[in-house]
Amino acid sequence: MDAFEGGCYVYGVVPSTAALPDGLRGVGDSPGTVRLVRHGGLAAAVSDVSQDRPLGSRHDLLAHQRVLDTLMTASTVLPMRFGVVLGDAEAVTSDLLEPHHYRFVDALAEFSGYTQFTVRGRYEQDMVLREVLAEDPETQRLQEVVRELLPDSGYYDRIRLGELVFHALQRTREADGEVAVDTLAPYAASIRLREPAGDDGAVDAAVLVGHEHRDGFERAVEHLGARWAGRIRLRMLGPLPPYDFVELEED
Amino acid sequence: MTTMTQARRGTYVDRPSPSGLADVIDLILDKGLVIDAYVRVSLVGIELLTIDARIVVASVDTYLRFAEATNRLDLYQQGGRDLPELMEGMAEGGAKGKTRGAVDTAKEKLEGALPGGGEGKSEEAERQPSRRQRQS
Repeated sequence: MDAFEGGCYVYGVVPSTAALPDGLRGVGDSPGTVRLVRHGGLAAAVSDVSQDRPLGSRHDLLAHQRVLDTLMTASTVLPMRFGVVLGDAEAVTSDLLEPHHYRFVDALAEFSGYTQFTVRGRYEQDMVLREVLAEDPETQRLQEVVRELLPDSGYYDRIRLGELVFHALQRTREADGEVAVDTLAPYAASIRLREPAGDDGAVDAAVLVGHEHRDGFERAVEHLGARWAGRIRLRMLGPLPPYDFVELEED
Repeated sequence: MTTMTQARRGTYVDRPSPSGLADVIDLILDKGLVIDAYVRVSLVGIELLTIDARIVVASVDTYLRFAEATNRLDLYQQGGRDLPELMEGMAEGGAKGKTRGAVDTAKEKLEGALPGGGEGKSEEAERQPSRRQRQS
């Protein structure tokens, strides 16, 4: 790929009727203007990039997201993953829009009227550790033993304690994930529960929500936040393009 | 703290807007449409894209970390502090900073490693091949 000298950065696929605001800037050091490459009822939102440097700066990442946010205010959009570059506008047509025409048409119809929300929660760790100790006498006993040990002793007891706590937390996490799904499901066309990140990750759910259910969904998230107050810190991102739902099927 | 968020926004749910860099990274780096691996030519600069540090791998280190967190918890209790005092202690930075998730750390490293995204730190972050490199 050393010969790569520039190309067409692709943000996403929209219906060809989609409109773009003037002067929307894309990724890169001297960012090109975002434009639409149209073909057969579809359009790809692209901008020119040069090979001044590899893409991936903070500016590039935020620009990718900003362009997609802008697109989705006006139409359904199938978001590309960050970093898709084709040689030129012709290649966008011949390598992207043409060969995947029917899939894109189907997907645009499928996601029309829906947006994604991402709901993430983190445990207030002390609170949830307290729960774990209260629920399991064995863990509590072991913890009392470990507490009395000198700092550098009892290595295996410490590991055993940590292991018990770790697995208890995993059970807690599974139960909380079920609560989240039960609470949000009535307003969701689809939910993807992912393994939450980090020691204190509690829940990580991507939810596809139809416009008519949006108010209800947001109330349900608020309800969940209230139910978990002091125990799980809940955050919600969105509305977003359907990042978590657009994967193409493997052939 | 959750309580501060409530007071400020009148809600139990934090809705960051605009989304921070960490959130954006999590959304656009390993999700979204990708057609063929070869079209991502410009990514040569950010091989770290294949990072997948989301899963907490159970290891001795993980267990020791939880054991330590559990013991620290007990020190508060022994001191006879009640809950509001405990929360204050956490807000002062006693516990909160240490218990941030592993993925935040990974992301900080990633941001540092991205060209133009930091001081060119080259800390090793866990990496593994992308699960969906080649599609359709």
